[in-house]
Amino acid sequence: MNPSSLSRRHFLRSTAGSLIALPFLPSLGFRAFAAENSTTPPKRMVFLGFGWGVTNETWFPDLKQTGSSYTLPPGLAPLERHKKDFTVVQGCTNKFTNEAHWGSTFWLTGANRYAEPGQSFHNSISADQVAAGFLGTDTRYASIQLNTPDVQNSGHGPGLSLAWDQRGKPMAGLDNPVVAYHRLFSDDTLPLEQRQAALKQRRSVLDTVLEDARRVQRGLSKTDTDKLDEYFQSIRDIETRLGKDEQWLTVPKAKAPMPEPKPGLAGREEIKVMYDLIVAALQTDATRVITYRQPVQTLLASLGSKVASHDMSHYTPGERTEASQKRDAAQSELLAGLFDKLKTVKEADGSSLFDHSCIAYGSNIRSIHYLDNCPTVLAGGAARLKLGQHIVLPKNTPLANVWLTLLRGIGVTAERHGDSTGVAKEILA
Amino acid sequence: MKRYSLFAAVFLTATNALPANEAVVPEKHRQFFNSYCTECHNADKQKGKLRLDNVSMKLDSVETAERWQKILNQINSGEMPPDDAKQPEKRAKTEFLDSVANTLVLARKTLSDQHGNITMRRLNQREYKNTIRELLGVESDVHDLPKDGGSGTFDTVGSGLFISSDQFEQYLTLGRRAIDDSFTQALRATAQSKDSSARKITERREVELHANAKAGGVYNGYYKGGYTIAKAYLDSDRSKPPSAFGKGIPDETEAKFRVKVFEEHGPTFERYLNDPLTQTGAYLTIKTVNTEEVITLPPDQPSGWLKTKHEVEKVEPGRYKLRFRIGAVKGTPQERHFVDLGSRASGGEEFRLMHTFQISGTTNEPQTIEVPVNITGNGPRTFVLREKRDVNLDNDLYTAARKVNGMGPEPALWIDWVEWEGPLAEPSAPAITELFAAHDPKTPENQTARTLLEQFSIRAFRGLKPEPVYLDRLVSLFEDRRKAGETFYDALKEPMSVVLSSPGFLYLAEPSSGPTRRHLTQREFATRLAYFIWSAPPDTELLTLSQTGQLSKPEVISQQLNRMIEDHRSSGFVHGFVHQWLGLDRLDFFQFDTKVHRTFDESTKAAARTEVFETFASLLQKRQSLALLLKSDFVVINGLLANYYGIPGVSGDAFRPVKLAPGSPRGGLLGMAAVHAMGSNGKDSSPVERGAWVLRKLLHEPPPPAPPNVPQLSRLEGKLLTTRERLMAHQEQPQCASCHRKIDPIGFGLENFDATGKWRTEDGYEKKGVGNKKWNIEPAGAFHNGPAFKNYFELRDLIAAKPERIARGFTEALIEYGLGRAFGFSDEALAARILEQTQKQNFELRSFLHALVGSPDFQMK
Repeated sequence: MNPSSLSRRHFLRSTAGSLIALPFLPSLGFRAFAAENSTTPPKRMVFLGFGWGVTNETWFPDLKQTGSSYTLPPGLAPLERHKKDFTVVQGCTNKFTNEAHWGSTFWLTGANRYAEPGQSFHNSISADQVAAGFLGTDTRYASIQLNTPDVQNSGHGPGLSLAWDQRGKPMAGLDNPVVAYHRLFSDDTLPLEQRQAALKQRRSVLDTVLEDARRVQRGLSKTDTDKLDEYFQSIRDIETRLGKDEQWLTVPKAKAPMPEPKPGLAGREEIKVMYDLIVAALQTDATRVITYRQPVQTLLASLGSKVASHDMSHYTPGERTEASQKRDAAQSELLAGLFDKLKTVKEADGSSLFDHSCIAYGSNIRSIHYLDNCPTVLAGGAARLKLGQHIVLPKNTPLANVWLTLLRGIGVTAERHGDSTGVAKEILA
Repeated sequence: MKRYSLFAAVFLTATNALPANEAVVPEKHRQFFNSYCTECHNADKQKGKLRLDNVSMKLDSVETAERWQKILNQINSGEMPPDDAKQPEKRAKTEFLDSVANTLVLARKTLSDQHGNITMRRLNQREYKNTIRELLGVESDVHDLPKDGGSGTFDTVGSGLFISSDQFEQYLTLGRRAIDDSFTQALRATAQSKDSSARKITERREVELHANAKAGGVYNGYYKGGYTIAKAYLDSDRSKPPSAFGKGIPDETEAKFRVKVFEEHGPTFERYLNDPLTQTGAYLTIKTVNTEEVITLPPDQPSGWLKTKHEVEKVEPGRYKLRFRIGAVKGTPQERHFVDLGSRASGGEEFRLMHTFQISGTTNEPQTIEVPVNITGNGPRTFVLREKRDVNLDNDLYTAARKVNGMGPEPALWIDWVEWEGPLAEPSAPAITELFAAHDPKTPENQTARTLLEQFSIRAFRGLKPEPVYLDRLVSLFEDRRKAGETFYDALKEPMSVVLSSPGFLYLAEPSSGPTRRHLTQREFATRLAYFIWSAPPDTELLTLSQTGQLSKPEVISQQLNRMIEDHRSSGFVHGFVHQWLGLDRLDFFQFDTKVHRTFDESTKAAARTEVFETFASLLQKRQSLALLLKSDFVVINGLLANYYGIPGVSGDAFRPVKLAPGSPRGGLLGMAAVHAMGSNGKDSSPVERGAWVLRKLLHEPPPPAPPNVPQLSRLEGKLLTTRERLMAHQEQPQCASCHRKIDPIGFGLENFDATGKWRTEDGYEKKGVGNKKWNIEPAGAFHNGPAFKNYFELRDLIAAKPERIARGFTEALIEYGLGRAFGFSDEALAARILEQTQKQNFELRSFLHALVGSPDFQMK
């Protein structure tokens, strides 16, 4: 390590204030050891957020039928073949959310928008990023955020993806399957020395902009310093990524287990290919944590529906209800396809990728303008959940309790998450 | 202290009285609260372990606001008071909900007040693009950057503008691309100045060659050829298979089909091929034969390209001109004399509309249209011409016309030839020109590089000098590239793109001086002013004035502001501000159903949107009043919209003020197609959207956000009702009525406009399995606790009689946009001063900008 990079790291720490220290970067040897000798396949986490809520009458199982003998309602019926491998949870709410059109902003965070006096918007870390802090150290990417270009009218609310970082700032997502594919699987074709030189140059670039950032920082007010800290944080993140790049420099990216997606896919086809990318990324261990903020408007269009998505979410009898139900079923069908694929991929020990994944699927909006009883489907064997169940939790259980349960389930030693009040024992096996 | 209660803000009685920043649930609601809430939730009887008797009526902390939010949510969701408890009377409940919801909005606003504190911000997407253009003279593709403004505020509000590592890397890439392009452009300008023909190409294509070959091929091969073989086979004794008569017909079914399609479509092709004008040009047809013409720049090739080849394999990015000679066909209707020009990505199918032109030339005397385009490295190189319409209607149009004439719609447009020319020599931006100026050969190379990088940084940082240590780093990046074998100029590119990713370029930083506020330096003021009016950096004139200390004089500021407004760059403000202020993004929320609204195609929607901008810009340029947005005796339209609105005597693509006939419903925002289209779902009008929009934007009485968890009404399922009957259900439940009694009457008053802003007197509804219903529009109604109106015209007059309402909302929006922070109660004094000043000038639009820019708030950190 040369002196200049030492001083940069020192500087980063000293400006970080209350923030995380630079993550410990395990040596290449350590990683190789971990990958080759470990016998248990790693755990993975997937969060799928679908914006506008579901059709109340035809998506939720009957409250009287709990446990394993319940009938799947039409909205979930396409998942029938996986019935023993997922659980539908009812009764959860993010108690601070009042925004009837924001299905994703606080879905994984459980934050209070108004918590900070003097600000009209506040958020906190999302569950996937907590997971990434734990599962992300041994992979090329700590987490991957997938997004749809069709956010504007899909009932997601503010944000750049489902993910919010440690400081509650929105994290960017990849909204183009082709770009995501290349990020995951395309190798830099440059020779090693040139890539090393490029890394070195990238570091010099960061050193240079930091020099100017320090000038700007001088004399800034408190809020402005906070704002500039976002810039520092982005540089820190690249620094971390460069550290990883260096560590992974001699490790070629895995060969893609799928063809390159066609450009311009939308709606149903977009979700399908994004699901394929999720499986491919997990399968090749490029990352272990993925979120995907899904389209609604283009999904409806691809199903041949002309109803605008907000109208669909306020389904009135007739065309709108039909559109809403069609959408529920199409989404469930796609989800069933994802489960199929995860089950097909085998780990070294013969178990399936599904057995070592934890998948959460839902939204902060139940239906129409209802924010209570957030639709929640949990699946996969990673988090030691009780599967094949319809579980009704006490009314208004914090949704964050469920996230905390999942996080604990995969081995995170968190005490709480968002507004959680404890673990939801009912969903644990 | 006089307490302002939104509840008491009755339409005509409310004056300009300023709301105090105290959020208090009015005392008169205490009884309701005591009767229905604290009877169970008190100190003794804490039902559900909840005590409410100690909740303060004054919402002065986040905690208290949160408790009231819960109370509101519980009542809204119908959970409280519980079914077995005594129930409030409807009217009282409505008033209570109305009051609490509005008090909460007030509380949220008070509690989030930033007390004049402006958060430093980075350039938003628009500003970044403009800044790169001003600095380097090139266009950049900012769509790669994440979208701004995630928190529902203006895209100039610093607290809502974030940056991430991905975005930083995109800045590096975009910056590098812009530097590359600007170098290419500079070298081209040098080369072309020496030799005017250098590297500039003009390629013309006579369109008939390709069109006739294609149409003739399809006709003679598929249609006529297929028909001849099929007919011979079908007329034969069928002892031999169809293949005995020729190729391509496998069986009898196909043979019958080919006879049928030839009889159907053959005449359409024959008409085309036999028309003498197709010997010298090509028609733009509908549905089949030759529906579009393309202008392609190499290496793109249109599919089925014949004979003509590009003169060069590939052209460089840069500025080009497209030209085409076009005429309208005599005898075809006026409304078809529009041509759409769009782009199409290589290998793609999507048509992206760029411009629509009204065609006044004829086939005898065609006109030549010239359009400048920017070709970027990976942007589209194929440009498509077609008759303006929604192509999804082609089948219907074709079938309908064929029933009449047997040949499909008569072509309405004819093209003689198309061509492109370029790359054009564009003068380089000063930041680039000075790089290539002669340097003293005796100066060491890295010394020269240092000087150049310093000059560039100062320009990029809008007049601010970079630190020596920063320059050291830049020079060392340059040296690294030199060592890696790059030329002197190439080696400058890397450090230059780093400058474009540095905080000094990306952020508009204004250091603070501690707890007390300070005056901006003149350089900072120039920057703030330029980004406010232009969404772009200050130009040389502004910077020079700031350096010579002139920019502190009110008369200089005023004169500069006028100059800036009259500069073309003020479109940065017009588009950026108006789009967000009026919420025009809703226009893109849905596909308009052109089966129902035939004429509201993409081009018309684009023109309708432009009308809003052009009207605002016209008021700004002509020093007219903001109040004209409420009602005016003119519209600012072009030929396309005049045709859409049925206003005679206007042709051409330029927008201009046009006097309206007396009694016209147009004139002002409420007469605009864009406004009504936003207040729809693409098919039906939405009185709720429209009513809420009018309250928000024109009357400054915004309804609180839609509450969560209100039970949905299901009583009306399966019934066939008029829009009004359907929405009257809103009045049944207090949870709905508290807002909808204000919203809905206004929306009903606008029902004479359909979903695309066309005037109608009848509406109808069709419900599958139930039936149809038609009814006459009944716009009459009354404002909640306010005056009545008989029709749209009276409604508009009532709204137009209160210009101070829109002025107030506009002022708040302007402060938020211009200062880059949410409007808070600490801005009351500023807003009051602006309103006082502008009212004296009859709310002249320009006077608002002068009042804000001249205020201490705009000139202080």
